[in-house]
Amino acid sequence: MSLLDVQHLTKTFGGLTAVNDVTFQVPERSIISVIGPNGAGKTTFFNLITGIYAPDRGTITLAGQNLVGLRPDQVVSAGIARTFQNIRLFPSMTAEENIMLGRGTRLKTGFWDAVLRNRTFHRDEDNAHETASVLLDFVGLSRWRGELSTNLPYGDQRKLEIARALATTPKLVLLDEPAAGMNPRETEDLKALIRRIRDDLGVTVVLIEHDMRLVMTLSENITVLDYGTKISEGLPHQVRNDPRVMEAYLGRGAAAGEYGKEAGQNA
Amino acid sequence: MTSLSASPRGLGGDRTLALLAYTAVTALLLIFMRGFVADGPARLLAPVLFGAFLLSLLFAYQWRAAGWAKTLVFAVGIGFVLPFMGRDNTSYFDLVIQMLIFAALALGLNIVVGLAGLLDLGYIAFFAVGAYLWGVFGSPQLGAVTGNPVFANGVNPNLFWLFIPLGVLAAALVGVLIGLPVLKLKGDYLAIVTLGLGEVVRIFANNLDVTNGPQGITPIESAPVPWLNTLAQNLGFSEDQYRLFFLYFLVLVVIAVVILVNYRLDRSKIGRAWVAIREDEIAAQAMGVPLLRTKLLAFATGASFAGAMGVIFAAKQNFIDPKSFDYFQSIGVLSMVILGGMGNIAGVFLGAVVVTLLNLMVLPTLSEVLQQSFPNLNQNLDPSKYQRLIFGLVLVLMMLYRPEGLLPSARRKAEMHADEPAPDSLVTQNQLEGDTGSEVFSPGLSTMKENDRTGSER
Repeated sequence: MSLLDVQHLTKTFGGLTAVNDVTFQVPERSIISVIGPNGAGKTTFFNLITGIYAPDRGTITLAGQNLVGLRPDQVVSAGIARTFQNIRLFPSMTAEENIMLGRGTRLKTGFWDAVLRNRTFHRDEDNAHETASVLLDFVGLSRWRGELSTNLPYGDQRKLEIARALATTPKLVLLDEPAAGMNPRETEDLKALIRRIRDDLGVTVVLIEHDMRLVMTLSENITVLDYGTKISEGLPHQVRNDPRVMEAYLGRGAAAGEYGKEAGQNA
Repeated sequence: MTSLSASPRGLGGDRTLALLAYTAVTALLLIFMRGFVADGPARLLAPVLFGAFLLSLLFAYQWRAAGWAKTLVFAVGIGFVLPFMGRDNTSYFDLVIQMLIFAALALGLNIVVGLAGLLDLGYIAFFAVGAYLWGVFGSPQLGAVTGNPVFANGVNPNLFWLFIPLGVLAAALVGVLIGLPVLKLKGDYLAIVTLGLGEVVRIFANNLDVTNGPQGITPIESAPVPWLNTLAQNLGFSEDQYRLFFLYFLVLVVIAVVILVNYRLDRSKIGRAWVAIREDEIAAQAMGVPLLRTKLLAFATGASFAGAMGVIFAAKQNFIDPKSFDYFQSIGVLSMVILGGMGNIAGVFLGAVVVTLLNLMVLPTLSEVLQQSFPNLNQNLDPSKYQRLIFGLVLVLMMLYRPEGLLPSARRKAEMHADEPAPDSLVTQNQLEGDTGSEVFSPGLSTMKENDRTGSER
């Protein structure tokens, strides 16, 4: 059964239909990619799922729980965490604090707990430190623990953002272009990391990505958006050979040529 | 670069001796020179000596020294020297209490502006709420309003103790009421709306009958504490100083609570959420921080500090009127926060002390000295009229040359100087490690430059 179930999702901004009647299912413990040309509505799609935008039509359920109408923080509590296309770490917080912040949604500390420093507070702080330590280790950033996040190398910032998302103990994590700006070696690391997120942590992964090599080798299933509409869906090799996808990326004329090989490099 | 785990203190080696010597010298100078009636520029000696002595308390906090020495300096300074100066000259008492009241206000505003990043230009309204709460109930005003002769002198002055927590509650409630509609706004818009609402509270106070309009309310009671009065009497304080003697220690207790609450919130899930909201609202929300609730909590907490001090302020002044709560007061408290070092408790406290000292002691004395030195000066060039100008210049210079404040928090310092080369160069470390990010354009590392110095987000 599918963990995330999106039915007929539609969102318009003025006259522009950013997401148009998209139906999308994510099986538990899978790695799914959403691809499409720039402006296809991929990030808007993520923003709808995470509650940053409210959909005009359609339903979103996570493990049977309705997500439409929830605030972003409630969506996080429900079990969806995300990263951002342009890294959005908290620059003046250390790597550890960034992860501890992400952990906050699973902590019970309230105003009086913090002021009185009671048992709840201490248990929560220990929990947050422990989470940070485990996740820093998991993404391989333990040496940056006390460093301000803004001082981390770019690729490590991306990993830290993933760790911060994982700190919320999500059922599903949405990664928005995690490989953007990474060199090939870092991308390989990232691929291994994403696999471990699924295999070791049991967290389902949905990613938006432009690096076709990463997408084709990593995803079990690919959904292609163009102008807000789902134009194709299937296994990597099916999508790669789908004429509608070639057309969306390269235009009608070029689609007749050998799209697959070129697109394998870069789209 | 700046690791937050590294202690911001610890300048050089152990300075126990230097601390004790400095404190002893400044304290003794202050005490022995107190009777010195100076004329001309020598009048500036008093503020200088007083400032020098207050510095010893800062050093006790800042320097690396033995714990017992620090405790000794604080205990002697706060428990003996300051009250002693107050006994000798009531204006010192007044000044120190005023400093502490403003320090509490600045610490409250620090939560709102420094931690949560919500620019509140009407903060003094919460102070007004506390002050008027006790002002009305603790004075003949209550009798005048209700027409009930039982309240001809207000409620039982012992209820002062109850009204401190009531002031906290009332201010927090007003904070939530003002915050609810307003906190959906960001940055400049929030600043303008809070500015307006702050003025609304003052104008209410100016026009309502309950607050006795522009005439203000007087006399305002304070709690009777016979045992403390007896103590004060035995220590040689005069009768009109009893109230200040009591309020001095009360303010100390309240400010200790304020600092404790501030510190503990800062280092908790709540403090992290505030900083996250300040830095990136969208990311904070996407990481599970409930925006409105977290902002309201910041607003209400900040307001509650002001409410408590408002009650005490009313009792100390014996008289309150709407002028005490005008727009400039809000700006004054904000300048304490910024001048001292936004986000840092010690910095904000220092900012409050420095600004209050400037406004109530240094600048008035300076203008008197100038006036005496140039007696033939045109009326329009009267230096006392330029107090604000000098204060403004201090602020401008400060923002130009030390935008992070006198005692910045490690966070702020890192933000303000993000583009400067790091001392224990991280960059070279990266290069040594080879590929990690060095050949890739790093927007994450460069964005801070835009915000450099302004301290504003986006």
